[in-house]
Amino acid sequence: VLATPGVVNPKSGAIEMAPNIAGLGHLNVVGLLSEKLGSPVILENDVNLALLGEIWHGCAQNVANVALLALGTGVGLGLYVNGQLVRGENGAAGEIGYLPIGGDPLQAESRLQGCLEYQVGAAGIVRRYREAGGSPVDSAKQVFELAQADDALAASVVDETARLTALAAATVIATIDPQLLVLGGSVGARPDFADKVAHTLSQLTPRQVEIRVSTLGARAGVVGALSVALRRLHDEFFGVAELAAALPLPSPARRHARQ
Amino acid sequence: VTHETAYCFAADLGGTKLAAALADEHGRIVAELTEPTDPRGAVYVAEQLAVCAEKLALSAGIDVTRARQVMVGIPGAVDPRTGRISLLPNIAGLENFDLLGFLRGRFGPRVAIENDVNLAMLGEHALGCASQCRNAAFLALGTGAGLGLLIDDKLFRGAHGAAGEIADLPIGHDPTVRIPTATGTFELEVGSLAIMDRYRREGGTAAATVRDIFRLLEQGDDVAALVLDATARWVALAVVTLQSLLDLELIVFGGSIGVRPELYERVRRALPALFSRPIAIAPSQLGDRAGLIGAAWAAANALRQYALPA
Repeated sequence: VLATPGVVNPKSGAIEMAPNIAGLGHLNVVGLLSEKLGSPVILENDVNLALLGEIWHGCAQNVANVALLALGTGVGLGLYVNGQLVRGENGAAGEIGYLPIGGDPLQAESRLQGCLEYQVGAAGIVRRYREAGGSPVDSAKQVFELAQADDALAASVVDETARLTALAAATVIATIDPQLLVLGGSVGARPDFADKVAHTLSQLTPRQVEIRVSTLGARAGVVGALSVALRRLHDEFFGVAELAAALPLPSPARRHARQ
Repeated sequence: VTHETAYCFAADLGGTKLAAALADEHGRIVAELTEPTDPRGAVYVAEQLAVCAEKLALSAGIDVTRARQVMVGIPGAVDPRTGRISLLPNIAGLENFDLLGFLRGRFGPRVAIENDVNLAMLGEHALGCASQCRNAAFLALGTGAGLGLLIDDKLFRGAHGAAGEIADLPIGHDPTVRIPTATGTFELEVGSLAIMDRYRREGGTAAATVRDIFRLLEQGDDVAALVLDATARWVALAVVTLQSLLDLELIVFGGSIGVRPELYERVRRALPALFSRPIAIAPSQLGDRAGLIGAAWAAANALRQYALPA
């Protein structure tokens, strides 16, 4: 199982809308990899897998209705409802980089990269800091470190990023009504950042939604990918198609007992 | 009693209007009526529902006790686990009234309450323009804004029955500055009161209702056109939001304002510039009966499952 940014079209298997990795749209990734590895390969959206990871071993265990908002290089949303990922008609559900938030949705950058992602993606954070007259930083991480070191400019860029992220979360809450909203991704899972998002969100919507920070962090996607691979193995070994429900995956408690 | 003798009572309860119908086990409507909602609210509205059922039974020549399944659509959220009603500002006192208990007392145990726009979505899915869809939405625009969602062929209600309560979608002027009120940011831009406000702000004086604005538009009134253009822009942003979140096959436009071609054609024209992939929108095929037809269909479905367990 392989995680990828962008949209895995459930009909064609192609990876679409992945502006952050050059040339990915033209590769037959599944074909190439299964040839090299000599085993079946499943492609799945990276945020979807991170969500499955949190549900299996992380902060979203035993929650029937959960959304993961991931903010890192890009921005994405995973939705899990009544035991299933929500993928949408063409696998593009949760592509919230294209939400009309944070800028002019009519701009060329907005159409290409997505209006929201152009502002809050890692490149957007760096660009906004530089445009505001900040020092020539290379990464969003540096902007966050500067903000913690009392750089007022960096702090305002971080605040604005949190405000836009809260707006995106508010659209999720109004539309989907999740039981739990998980914040993840290299930027989204920073506790100081998540606090800011939660604070703005409480002013934005009267609804009470529990917000948690990803506990698996950068490992969420790998853990989720493992859960999908295990499910597939179960299917192959035990013919689970005959069963009403999928076999339960090993619980975290049992895993820890073995270590 | 065999299942052939059973009927369903379906109602679509609105803030100003109550539509009710008696349907057979296939959801075919045999009698139908519309009357103003009792403005006194809660218990009077509940009583009105029971009286409607009797009137319909009388007109169809059926004993009212044969209505064995009841489905009532309400303009608010219904918690799927507890049946508790919330987010219902348009009918006085109903949030704190045990409507389910009252109706069970009158009709027996087989009573359900459902969000009205969810029922409209079911209506369009069963008999209207979304019959081929697995992932669709019904966007209702009128006094307020609401959304019914069909995801993977099933009605989607959310964790607290509040999925699709898009009145507080943060689409509108300065959503982080405005203090949250009973009316949300999005509804403050596209609800009928907001449209009238916009009309007056632009200097319009001839219209007293949104219906008047549509009439003036037909006569070539510039202010009316401006107001609808602005409203359609906000609606288009909401449509783009829905499509980004859920990747839908079709978004059905309904409600007294949403169903107007003058509005949804403006929205349709605005979409290509806002979103790089095509978004399919269509006006409701069942019009203002979508909720009632959906209620009758859902009730008949429940009745058949009860009478003929799988």
